[in-house]
Amino acid sequence: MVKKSEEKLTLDRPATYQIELPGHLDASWAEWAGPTMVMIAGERAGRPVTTLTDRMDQAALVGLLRRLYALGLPLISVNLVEGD
Amino acid sequence: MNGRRGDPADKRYDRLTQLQEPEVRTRSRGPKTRFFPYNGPMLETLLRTKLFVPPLRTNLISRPHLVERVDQGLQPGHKLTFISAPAGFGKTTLVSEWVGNLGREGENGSKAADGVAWLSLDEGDNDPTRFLTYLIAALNRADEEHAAVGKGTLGMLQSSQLPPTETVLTPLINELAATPEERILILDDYHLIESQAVHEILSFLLENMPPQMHLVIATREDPNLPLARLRARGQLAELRAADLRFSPTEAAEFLNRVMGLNLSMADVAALESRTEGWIAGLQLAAISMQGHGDAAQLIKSFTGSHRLVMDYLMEDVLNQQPKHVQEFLLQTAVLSKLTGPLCDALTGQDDGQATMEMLERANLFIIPLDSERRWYRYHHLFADLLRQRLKQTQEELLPILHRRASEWHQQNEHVDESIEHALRGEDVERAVNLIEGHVDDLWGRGEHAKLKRWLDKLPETMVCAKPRICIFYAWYMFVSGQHEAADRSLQAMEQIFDRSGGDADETERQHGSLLADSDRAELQGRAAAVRAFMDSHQGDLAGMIRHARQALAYLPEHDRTWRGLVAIVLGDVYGFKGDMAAAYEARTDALKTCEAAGDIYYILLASMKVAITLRSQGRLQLTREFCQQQIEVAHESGLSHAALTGLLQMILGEVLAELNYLDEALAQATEGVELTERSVDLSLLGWGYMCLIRILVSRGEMAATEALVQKMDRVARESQVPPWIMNQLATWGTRLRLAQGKLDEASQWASQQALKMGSELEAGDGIDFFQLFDYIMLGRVLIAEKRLDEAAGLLTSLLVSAKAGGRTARVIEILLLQALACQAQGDIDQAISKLRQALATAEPEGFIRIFADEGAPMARLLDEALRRGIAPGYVGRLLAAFSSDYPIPADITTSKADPPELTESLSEREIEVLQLIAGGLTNSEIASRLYLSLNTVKAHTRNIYSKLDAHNRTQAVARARALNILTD
Repeated sequence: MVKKSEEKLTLDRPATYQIELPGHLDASWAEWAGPTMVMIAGERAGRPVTTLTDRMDQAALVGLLRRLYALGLPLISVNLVEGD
Repeated sequence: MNGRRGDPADKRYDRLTQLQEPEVRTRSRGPKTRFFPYNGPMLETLLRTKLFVPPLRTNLISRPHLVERVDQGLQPGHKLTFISAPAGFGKTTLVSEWVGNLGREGENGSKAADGVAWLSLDEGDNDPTRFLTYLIAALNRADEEHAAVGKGTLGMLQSSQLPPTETVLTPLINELAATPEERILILDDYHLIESQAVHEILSFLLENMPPQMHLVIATREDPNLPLARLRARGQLAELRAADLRFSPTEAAEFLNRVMGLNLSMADVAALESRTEGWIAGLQLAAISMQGHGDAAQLIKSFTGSHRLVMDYLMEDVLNQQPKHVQEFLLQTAVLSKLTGPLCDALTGQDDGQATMEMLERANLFIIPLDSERRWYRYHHLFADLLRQRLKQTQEELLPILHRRASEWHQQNEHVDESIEHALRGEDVERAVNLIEGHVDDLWGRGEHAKLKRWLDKLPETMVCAKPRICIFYAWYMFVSGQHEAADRSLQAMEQIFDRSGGDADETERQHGSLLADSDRAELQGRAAAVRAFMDSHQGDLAGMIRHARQALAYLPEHDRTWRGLVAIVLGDVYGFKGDMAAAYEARTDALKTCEAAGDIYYILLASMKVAITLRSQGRLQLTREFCQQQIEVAHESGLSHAALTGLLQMILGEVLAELNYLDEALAQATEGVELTERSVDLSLLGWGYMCLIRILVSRGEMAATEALVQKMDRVARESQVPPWIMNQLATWGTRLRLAQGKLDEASQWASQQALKMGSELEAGDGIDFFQLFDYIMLGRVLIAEKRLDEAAGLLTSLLVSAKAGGRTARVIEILLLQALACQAQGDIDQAISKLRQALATAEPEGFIRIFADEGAPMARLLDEALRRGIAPGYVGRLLAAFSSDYPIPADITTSKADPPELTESLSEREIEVLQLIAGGLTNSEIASRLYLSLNTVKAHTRNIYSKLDAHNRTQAVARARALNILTD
């Protein structure tokens, strides 16, 4: 048995990513990011943070990061979510 | 050839020696063909806006400290000013302000200062052809007083295959280097470039541009350029978001003076902190506040909110606009460039121009693109937000808006924009139909990358369902080496042809999925032509003939480009068969057809084939003139650096070698081989190497020849090389073995070859173009092996075949080998008779090395011919070639390992003369020392050379020492 965490991450295999942005996005932005994206307004160390979570391959991930940048949104973190 | 010396433009040769252009060697003639789309129809009015420096708003925050930083990029040693920051940090404005400062007083930035070239990039510039076309247009627009640059580069862009970056850019860089004036090239929005080909072009330009040239790049993302290297070398002036953000002072000036707000320093500081100096954010905030009665209240809720800056302000700003302005903004957001009538077409209103002017006055993120304010664009960030909102609120409008934009552009003949909007509106049907209508034009203009990019966005079934597009796809795949994909798309087309035949379903035909008869014939012809080229690549003669004939039967008379291509293939059929008369006719026809069609790449391809044919026919003078003339055509068309031009130079060099201009020959071939080596087409490279080997052999440069054969051998092992090249190399290798006296190795090759070729010789006319070379080499080996009867039999058959094929150069070679075989058998009369025939055939064209390369035995025969009074003038010239400075290939000093015995020993008198030669005395000094006449001394030396198999004094001495006839 190969454990999930040991599976090799490849360019083509979709994986779940979490992206954190400072501040809160209006709920209407969720649709912009795609129907499967989960958008949560939260807090981190006392500061407002928006977390975007979606399953995507590397091309989609890079495309999303570029769109966020084009909209003037800085990134706090980009994480691969384990155990998916 | 030195006509250009002293010309100031020649500075280029001093500075950029690695980028030298071959000089034009013949008298100037009128250009045969013109292909330069200089500011022609390609640069439509719409797209000229790409070249305008964006006009500065009158009420501007002056940023002298940043202007100074940009200026640093102009300091000596600096190459690039690199401005990289997110949208909304004032990159374009800063560069416009800087350009305005460079300009003369009184100009408000709408016209660039002299030598400043501006290019606003868009997605379409990912096509290297289009990118370079605009880049050159920008350079020329900036410097109208000086001669236009880039003619050569533009010429190359017109060819069917984009040559390598270095080849394309070298003439442009040389032209830029030739003018002393400072030039500045500004590329705005470089982040839109994703194509590696364009990055390569720019990297090459950065690496090689002259010191008087500077580049300014504004981008949202760091691109794939050698920035780290430039940084390390201190050649880079760099500005980033941290440099560009508004300082609190600038924020105050902007909010209070420019936007007319009256804010306290505390409010300004709060806004500056909340927006982090982000200029677009401050502008949004200011506009928002202008609409609010109570600015302080807005600042309070804004700075207290956790919502993102633009998210918060955007909605506010938009909501403040009257309904019809909101509608206008959302609907026109799909456009990358706006003009009144286009906006009206989208909105259905008639106030587009007025609305845009109003938006500009209101600072609503709209930027004029020309000083007449005909064309505008939205600030990128603002446009993104508008599009985003449009998608959220009225997504169903998107396809409709794109369709309207596509239709408007179509009516205004903006082909690219109409297609782009159809693609963005996901109107696949419309996109395919538009592309279908323009594919021939775009193809003809060489905009292959763009076409390919569009096709990549369409489903393959749609592409293959349109034969006119599919044929481009098949050809593109073939020339880029993807033969399987080419075959697949051709099969798809062929199915459509079958279905569109006589008893096709009438309803299907009307539906447009089937072809009209005339279209079908044309496309069927093109498909057959591509098939013929694929056959040619595999050396399948039968397939070539079948498909070429099929193609000619289908292709209409007016489709000259394709008929030219097919004519080239047909010429190859005869050429491969070794029938030079038929090949000459077919290939000159092909050349005429290609000239009529006007594609310079195919003109050169057809020219190369004609040159090879002329050379095989032994028409040396004509080959030489023709090559010179076509090389000049290539130069005039800007293709001086094309691989095909290089090959023409090598063919010219080989002819010059035959005529015994060995230095000129080497010079031509050395220039030519550099160009040819860049080609991806290994058959070009192979042919070029064959020419160079021949030149080196004639120069007696055996080591260099050997190295070249081995080099090609390595290339062959790493990639797919056509089999005929490998055969030819092995054949030349055998000639080297013979010259080195390695008879065993030569015999080994010959026995393999005899097995392979065997009975085909019986057929007589079954000897094809390349086989004849192999058979002749076989004859040489047989002579060396002293199997003289076999050699004589073989050579007799070969002579019949070579004569039948009109291959005069080979006829001469075979006659000479026959003469040498007879001589070896001791039948001097018969040898002289063969030699006499060879002389009669060779004299009118002035062949020399074909005799001289045969070495000492041939010299003896020629001496004998001279003694018998045969063609004394010509034979005298030939003999003079033997005693030139170049050792002949049969030079035995190169085979020290196994020096053959002297066939005839030297007389005492000859040894005496040789000792004096070794002592460095001249012939007349020897004559007076030995009390002999000068002619007698010359006769002795000639005998010495002959017996020692040497061709000059140095060789003779070296050989005599090797044989211990002389001691040191």
